[in-house]
Amino acid sequence: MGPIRYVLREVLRSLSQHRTLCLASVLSMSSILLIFLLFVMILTGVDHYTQQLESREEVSVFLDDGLARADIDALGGRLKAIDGVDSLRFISKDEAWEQFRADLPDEALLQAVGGNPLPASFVLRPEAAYRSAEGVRSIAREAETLPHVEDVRYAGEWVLRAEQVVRTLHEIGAALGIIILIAVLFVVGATTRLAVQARLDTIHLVRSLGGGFLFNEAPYLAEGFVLAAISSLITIVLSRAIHDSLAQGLFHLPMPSGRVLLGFAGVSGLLGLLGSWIAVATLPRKWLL
Amino acid sequence: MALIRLEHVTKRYRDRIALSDVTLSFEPGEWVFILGPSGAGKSTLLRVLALAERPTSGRVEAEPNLRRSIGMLGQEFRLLNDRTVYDNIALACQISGLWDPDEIRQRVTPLLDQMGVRAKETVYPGDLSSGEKQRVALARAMVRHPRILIADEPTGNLDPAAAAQIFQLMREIRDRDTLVAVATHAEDWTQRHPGRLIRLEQGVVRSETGAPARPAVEGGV
Repeated sequence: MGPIRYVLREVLRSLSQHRTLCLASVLSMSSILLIFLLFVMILTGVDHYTQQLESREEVSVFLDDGLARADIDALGGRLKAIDGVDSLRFISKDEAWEQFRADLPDEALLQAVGGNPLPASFVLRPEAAYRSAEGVRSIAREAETLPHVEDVRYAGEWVLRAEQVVRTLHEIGAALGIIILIAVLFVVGATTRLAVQARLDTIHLVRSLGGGFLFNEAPYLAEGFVLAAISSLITIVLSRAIHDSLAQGLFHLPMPSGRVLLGFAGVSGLLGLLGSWIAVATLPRKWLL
Repeated sequence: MALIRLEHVTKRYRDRIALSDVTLSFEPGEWVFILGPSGAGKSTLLRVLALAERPTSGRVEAEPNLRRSIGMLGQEFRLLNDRTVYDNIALACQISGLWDPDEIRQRVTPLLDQMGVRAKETVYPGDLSSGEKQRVALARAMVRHPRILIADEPTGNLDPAAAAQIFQLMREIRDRDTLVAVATHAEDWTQRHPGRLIRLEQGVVRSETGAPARPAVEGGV
């Protein structure tokens, strides 16, 4: 039996001897890690949504009712001349209504609306350099100043708001990450301490026989790693279940990729190892005498 | 040549002096009793001999790497209850860097035979008698082929028959050129197994008998 096998055997021995303690520790860590992973999934979803918004960089310019064809053409020319506009498309009042009818197939609702209340519009497509929230906004502001323009709508408004929300969420995520880190270190550290306390006789004996790091510290460090890694695997399974359950309804939480999940499990394990190391390194000296 | 030599060794714990100006020399194969009342400094002397304590002042001269060749036996058997008898003994091999299962078996089996616990090798310490536990502890102390066996009240928790067995086994170990140092209250053992007697009182060596003769002048004419 080599040193590594010895350490693994010691970990299994400790896990089986302190089943309740380890179970409590794994459940605590899984709960903490699940909160974090779900938050990461929500954040990923919001990021994805924001990217979709960013792809909708077109600007809709709604026109006053009853414009003559010449006025429409003149306005089209001025809109095309705005800095950053690549191309434009005219949507007549009738086309807009048809599109609305296609999007809202409820005939009763359409009848309640009555006649066609929708205005004609131009849809402006920005040049590549203007396909950002700021670029779209500058085009929209210029369009608003033109005559016969009733209203201007653009996704950029939402993109900007969403970006702000995402930034806030990222900040919350970072804070949550730090809290999770401290919580995992604390849980693993407390578990390790209890495990060490329960096995002080063994530690004293092994020390008296001349046992060093491999016999006194390594098994506890490995135990911390294993507990945290198991917790992260449970967390991944639970988050998958939540993902699948939500997918049947309206919400969609994107599941992180396999590589990200592997990294999550690895980092969790390392946090466990670090927690154990801190616990062992800061043991009261009197315990070890 | 001395296996280990203490020169003017004093050991102080805060205000208490555990050993005071002790000078002693020990040869391989010696059988030594360390006697004295509680608090006389017997255990401290043994820990200094085991190189587990550094003296506050004075010198301890020992052969190189002697620390790895010291076996210890105490009043408490200090066996690990979650391991079998065999694994308890094998652990000492692993701690000294011996991992090959066959080599460990070759070392442990003769000791199990010698200590009369071969049939118990798969048993856990909780199912052993006190005498058996102490014999397992002795096997564990011996598995690394120590040159010094230090026994602190080794029969304190044993009935007379088991104690006699332990002393007999320690004598056999001494016969293999191992220095055996035994601290005990029970002075009747000194008559049944005569040897060198070191009597301590309040950390001071009050008397010493049966010490091997020392050369009058080292490297002398």
